[in-house]
Amino acid sequence: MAQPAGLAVAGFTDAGIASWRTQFGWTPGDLIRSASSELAGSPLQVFQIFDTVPGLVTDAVHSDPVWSGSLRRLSYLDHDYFGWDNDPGPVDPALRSGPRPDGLGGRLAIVDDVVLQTSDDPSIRQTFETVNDVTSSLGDDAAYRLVAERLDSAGAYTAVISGEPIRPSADALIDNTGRTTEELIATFDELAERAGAARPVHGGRSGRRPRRYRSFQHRRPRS
Amino acid sequence: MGAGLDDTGHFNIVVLAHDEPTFAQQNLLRLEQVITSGSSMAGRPWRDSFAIREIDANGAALVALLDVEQPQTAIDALTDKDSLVLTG
Repeated sequence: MAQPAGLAVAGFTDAGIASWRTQFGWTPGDLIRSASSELAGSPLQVFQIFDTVPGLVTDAVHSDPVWSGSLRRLSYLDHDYFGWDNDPGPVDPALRSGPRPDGLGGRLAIVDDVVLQTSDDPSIRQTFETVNDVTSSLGDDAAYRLVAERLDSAGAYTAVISGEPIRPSADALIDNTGRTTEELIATFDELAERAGAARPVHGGRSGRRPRRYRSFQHRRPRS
Repeated sequence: MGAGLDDTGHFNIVVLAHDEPTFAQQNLLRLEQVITSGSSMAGRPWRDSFAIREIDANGAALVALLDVEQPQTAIDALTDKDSLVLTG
């Protein structure tokens, strides 16, 4: 079966978990802390790993049979980091995996005992600027710092912090409603038409034919 | 929203930062009401998902520790924009 463009499933199969070890020297099961940010569209992931031995990560990226051939050693603000030649594309679907769902090499750095991973070069450079106090960080925001400190002191091992208003969303209806898909779509149909957010591509309100909404379209793949 | 694990089991952490300590006190009462008598948008009472272990407004911060069975419950409520904590 052909792989759909822009959409690839990469779950935690045994092979998928092994590919983490092969590509980065650790697996999600080794994590003791992680954080991620998608501020300003520049995804950043920060990992702290059980018994992190930076050499394990370095050895893995150098010995990975798939990615080591395109490995590059880069440097910025006295921080060494890794990149791979295929960024930002084109994407080879065969390169998609659990560690790299988008099939891109990304950027990887080890700062003290923390692994930093970003999808692109500007993001990791911005992270180094923050580490070196060249630019401000989220920690400089009083409200964010307050929330982060309280979560930390309460013993959080994972958290999501949001500064956005939280307003009711139909996303919350999807889980555990006990309703059929058809009923949920009918509900969405009414809400969407009322809000003018989406129009049926075909099928009228009285018809029972399947309906499609433009708002259901996936984002364009990055290839 | 955060998640933790200790000898008692999984718990969720709700932390809200406010401009004034008074607002934190007011929201403490509101959050207690939401958990004890409110429900999710799907109609599930929040008290079926959470049991208040500890709730405190200290300065501008409101911190609630909630015992849960599923560690992702509060985080899911946030990311799904469910009715646990709605803000303007």
